[in-house]
Amino acid sequence: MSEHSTSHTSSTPEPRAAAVFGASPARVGHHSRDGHAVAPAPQPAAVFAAFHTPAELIAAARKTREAGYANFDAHSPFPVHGIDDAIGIRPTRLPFFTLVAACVGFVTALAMQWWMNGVAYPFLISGKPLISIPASWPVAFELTVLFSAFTTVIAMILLNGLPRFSNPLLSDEKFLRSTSDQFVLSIDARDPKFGGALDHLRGLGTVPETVYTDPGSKALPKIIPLAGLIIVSAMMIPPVLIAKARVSTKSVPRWHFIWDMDFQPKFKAQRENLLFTDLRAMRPQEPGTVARGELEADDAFYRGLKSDDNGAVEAAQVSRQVVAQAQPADATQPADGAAAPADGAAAPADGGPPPDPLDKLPWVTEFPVAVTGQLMKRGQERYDIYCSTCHGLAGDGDGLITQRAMELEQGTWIRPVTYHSDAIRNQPVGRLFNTITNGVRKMPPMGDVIPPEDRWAILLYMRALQRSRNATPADVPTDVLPQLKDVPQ
Amino acid sequence: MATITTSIDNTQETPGHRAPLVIGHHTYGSITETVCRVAEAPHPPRAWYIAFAISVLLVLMLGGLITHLLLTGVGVWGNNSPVFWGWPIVNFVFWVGIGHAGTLISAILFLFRQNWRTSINRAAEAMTIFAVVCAGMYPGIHVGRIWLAWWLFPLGPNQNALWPQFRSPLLWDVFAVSTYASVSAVFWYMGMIPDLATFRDRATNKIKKFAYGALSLGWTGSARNWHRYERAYLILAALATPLVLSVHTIVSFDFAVSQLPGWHTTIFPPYFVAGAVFSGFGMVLTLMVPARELFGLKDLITLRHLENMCKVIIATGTIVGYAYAMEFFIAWYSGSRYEGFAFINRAFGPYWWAYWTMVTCNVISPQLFWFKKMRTSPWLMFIVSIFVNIGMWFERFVITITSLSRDFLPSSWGYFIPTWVDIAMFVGSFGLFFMLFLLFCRYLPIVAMAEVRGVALPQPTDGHAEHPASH
Repeated sequence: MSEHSTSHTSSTPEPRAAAVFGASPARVGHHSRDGHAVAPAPQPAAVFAAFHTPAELIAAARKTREAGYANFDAHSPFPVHGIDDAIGIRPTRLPFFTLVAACVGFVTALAMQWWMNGVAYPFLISGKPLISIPASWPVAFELTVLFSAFTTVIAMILLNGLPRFSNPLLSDEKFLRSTSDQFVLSIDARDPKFGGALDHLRGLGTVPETVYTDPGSKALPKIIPLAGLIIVSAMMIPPVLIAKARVSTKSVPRWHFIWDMDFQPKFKAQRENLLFTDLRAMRPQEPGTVARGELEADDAFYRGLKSDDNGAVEAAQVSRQVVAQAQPADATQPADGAAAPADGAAAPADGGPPPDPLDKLPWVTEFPVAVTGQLMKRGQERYDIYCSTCHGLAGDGDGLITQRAMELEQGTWIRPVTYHSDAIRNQPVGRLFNTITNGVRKMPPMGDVIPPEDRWAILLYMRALQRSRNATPADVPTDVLPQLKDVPQ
Repeated sequence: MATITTSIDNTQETPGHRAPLVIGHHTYGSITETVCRVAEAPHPPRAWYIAFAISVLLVLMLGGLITHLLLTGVGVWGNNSPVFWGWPIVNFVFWVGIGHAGTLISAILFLFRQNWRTSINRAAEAMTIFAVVCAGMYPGIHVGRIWLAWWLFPLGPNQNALWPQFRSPLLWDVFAVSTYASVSAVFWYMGMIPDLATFRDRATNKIKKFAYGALSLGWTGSARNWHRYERAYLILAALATPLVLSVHTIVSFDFAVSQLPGWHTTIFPPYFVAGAVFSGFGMVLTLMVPARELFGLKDLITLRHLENMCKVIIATGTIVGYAYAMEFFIAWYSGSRYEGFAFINRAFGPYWWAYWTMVTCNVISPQLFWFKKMRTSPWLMFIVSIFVNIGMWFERFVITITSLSRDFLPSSWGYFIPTWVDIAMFVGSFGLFFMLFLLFCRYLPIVAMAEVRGVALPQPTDGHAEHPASH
């Protein structure tokens, strides 16, 4: 670097590089990348003259404009009023950009809220409209301001030709006072009348200066691209890691930032707890206690059992445990699918499976609720929702799920029995109620899903289905009888 | 070098003669000298070092406490049933409110052609940004799992398969505060570009030349650039004015949109905005009175500036007092027994001490500014400004805590007690605020030199022949 400086002939004025970035003028001015090329002779970039008051600047600008110069500018430490007219600066287009950005911000905000809360993830709150303009207003206002403010500043900077880190004017010490206490008029070398610019400025009673372009100054100091590269590379690391995490699988558990939040010192359901002899963390209900609202004293209504005498009640209490424990045994019974033994069918006394303990319980045979047309309608509705998918709309055990399972022939599906066999028809309603509540074989318990009122309603509808297969014309009301076809006379 | 001329009393308006906005027979160059001296002096004043050391220690404490909070959980705060909104939201509202004075000075006073603003707007805007930094910290860390704080924003890719609830005032707050922070920052930065160019052109060492050169974007004070710059500044002021009003309005919606007695009132938006301006001017005084002494800026930030701020404080303080009274009136006039109880409980319930601290500091103490002696004695007004800061913190405490601690159901009533983490974090947030402000004073142009040169200095008389009375 220093060799270049010394070998440089000083026949031309010493070029002064833009020193915005702190590189000393001499160093940048003689920087030659190849190491052997001689720096081309610096060309004049501009001439400038300094004034002491805004008024002098305005007068000089006016005269310069009248002299036919176009490519000149005034530089002042604060905005000088009246300079725009003197130079002939047209109003800026900046407000137009702001207006466009404001409209874009407003529409973006409304569209975002409409799409996010009305379409992509509808938030239904107290039945209020999904897309509500008053509630969208604050965010719309904020985004309008955000978009227009940023656009205004960015447009101001870009329209001004900034950022510009290499400017020959800034290489002259005398020019630098224009950001403090001097007013400078500069004429650019690109002006067609630039040849007479120095004389023109002298004619204004000033001592003009010339600044020169510096061919070397266009190269950024090496540290800047290097630093930029490092920063950009470092910024790429998190997105790359995230992208990798999104497309790859891991064999180790995820990171736990906060251990005592993820692994709280508490017992969870279905876990071991050495404090109790049965080692269960989840405690069973204390014998003899009833949770609030779960007394369910009415055996007939809640369990389908007669509670005429104390023994039966006790048996009913026991049965709740029995059913839970008997089920797994039932489920292991060989079932050939098509011909599963009907629920409650009396098992053969000899050589067959052991007798079902449920057979002995005192099931109710009458509905413990008022049988009404309304209950029947409710039952039909609930039946269609909960039961028909497996049992079929008419109770033949041919619901859509069953049909599909039979098609797949996986051998694990037990076809539901038809309601229309004698074994089922003859079961007491209490027993059927128990089946709905606690399930049987592969049928899951539905007691948690369907409240007892609805279970009775479903049973009522089921009874209606059964009767429809074994009805006589006497069962049909006389006014609808003529509508039926093929009625046996 | 300009000398401080005490003989000029620019707090007096004599008919036919306009009091000067800056005193001391300043010229364009001496303004530059006075302001740049703050950053160019080889060493800042000793008081700067002491204040900076204390602030950094507090910031370290704050960092430690945030780490403690994130590792342990938000249970380290005193927030608990029934007061689930404790100190974090009190401090958040307090700091957001502080910021409002900066935007009011930079944007609203600009639109009103209050040229005296030019001496203080830069520092006030810096205060705004640093206050919003302190405020923004609380919503960030209150989620506990800070790495999930991005859930506050509607960001993609939408792995959660859900979007934020746009009808929640808390979400509006996210948009309002982040818009406010970013727009204030660009407004502040844009205003600094010409002054950063002055710093660049005076810089003597390479690092400063590089840093100020990069920040000033190659500004040369060209008339064409100034033309667009002034237009952009006007537009930004026009945008920031409704923005600043919207921010504390939306902050007040956090409370007012809920159904809780004591919160569910329509007076909240104007009441909060007035309170925010009030507290912000209190903080500007707290900062400016020592700063003008410390950095020799008494010619630029004159007694007249301080007096004007005192006048704003008395006006906004009285509005706040009116709001307190109106809340009580409406509580009675509404006939709602819950509203009535909420306010009786505020003034005479278990938090009576907080309520009367608030009233004393916010309503009574600014009334001292009716006396000219108070308005023109910097250290007296400094003391009052401290009271204003205290009072406005207590206002947010009273609103948040008293309403929550006794709601509809007496069986759930409780008494809020902050933990040491609550208190130390609040103290630490002051450390963060002052650390940022002290760095600003040392490294950035603390006064908007270009604006002071342009509008606050008396222009040379020969300019008038060329260009009579611009405004």
